[in-house]
Amino acid sequence: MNNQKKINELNKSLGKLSKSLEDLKTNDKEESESVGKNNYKGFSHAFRIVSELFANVVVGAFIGWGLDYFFHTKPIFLIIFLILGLISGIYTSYKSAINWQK
Amino acid sequence: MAEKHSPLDQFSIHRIFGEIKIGELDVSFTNSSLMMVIVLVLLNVFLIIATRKKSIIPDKLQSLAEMSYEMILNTTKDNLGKNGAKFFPFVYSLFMFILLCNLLGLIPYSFTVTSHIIVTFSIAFSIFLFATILGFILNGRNFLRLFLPKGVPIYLAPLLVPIEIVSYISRPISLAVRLAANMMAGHTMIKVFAGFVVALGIFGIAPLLFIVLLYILETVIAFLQAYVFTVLTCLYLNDSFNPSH
Repeated sequence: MNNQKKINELNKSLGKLSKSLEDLKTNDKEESESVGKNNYKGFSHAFRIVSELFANVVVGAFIGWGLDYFFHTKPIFLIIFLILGLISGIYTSYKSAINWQK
Repeated sequence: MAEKHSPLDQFSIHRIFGEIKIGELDVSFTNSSLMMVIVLVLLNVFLIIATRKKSIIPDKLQSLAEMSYEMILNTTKDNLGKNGAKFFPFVYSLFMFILLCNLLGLIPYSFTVTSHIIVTFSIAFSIFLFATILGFILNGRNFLRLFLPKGVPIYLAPLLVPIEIVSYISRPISLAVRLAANMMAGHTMIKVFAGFVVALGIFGIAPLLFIVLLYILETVIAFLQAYVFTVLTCLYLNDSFNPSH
């Protein structure tokens, strides 16, 4: 009888311990995750948007130049695709910014 | 001698064992190739030693290996969903290779492989080709939905389709340029400020302190760029599974 009581008490304190351990763990996790997100994810996203803005213009210019080279229509396609590249650069970085906010 | 101290001298490539040619192709073993071999050997040795013991309570090396494994596993799961498991080995190798190239490049007198745009571009372009072919195999003609999202009115198509195509082709270029430009800019900046230390004599302490701070930033960037590269690889691969956003 006495033994049974002791075992029950031990079980109770064990339960308490594991519960407080669990609490500590989740607290730690939340804290570290939020810190990581705030500092580095934003940083990496900024790099991403800048390079997208840049690469789209370059690709647009390159496609335009290539089409002009093949069709001998010197500045027409270059101008059209440069503008398209600018638009798509802004459009792409806008989309990735929207995605990030979600 | 003067050129030896140029900040851009660290990026020059030279042959180690003389010229080796296959037909017209120059396949000489350069310092860049040597650095890549060192990275691969170190990576394998690190992972073999770190995972040899398989103890329940990990030591420092083992927990490092487990941390990188878990981080990439979560990234692939978040971005690729149930298809993540198939691509995990590829994404993990990619991440570790780029990360180690970036970090080993920070050691003085070593060589930064990822500062050359041709290296990063060949990695990015092979991923781009693979994702495109995979998309066409999995979805057939439906893959072209990527260029015209659902719910867009048809009169916008002539404007939107070229824009989406330009934005799709720009993916490997933005991947390659981001990594290479970040690495090259950082290393050049460190070298330039290192030149100031000598030139300023006793006042050189100020740029010296600045270099220390810059090195911390560069380490963060080395890690971050490797991570961004892998995350975007996952995102692009995900587009080949679900082309209609």
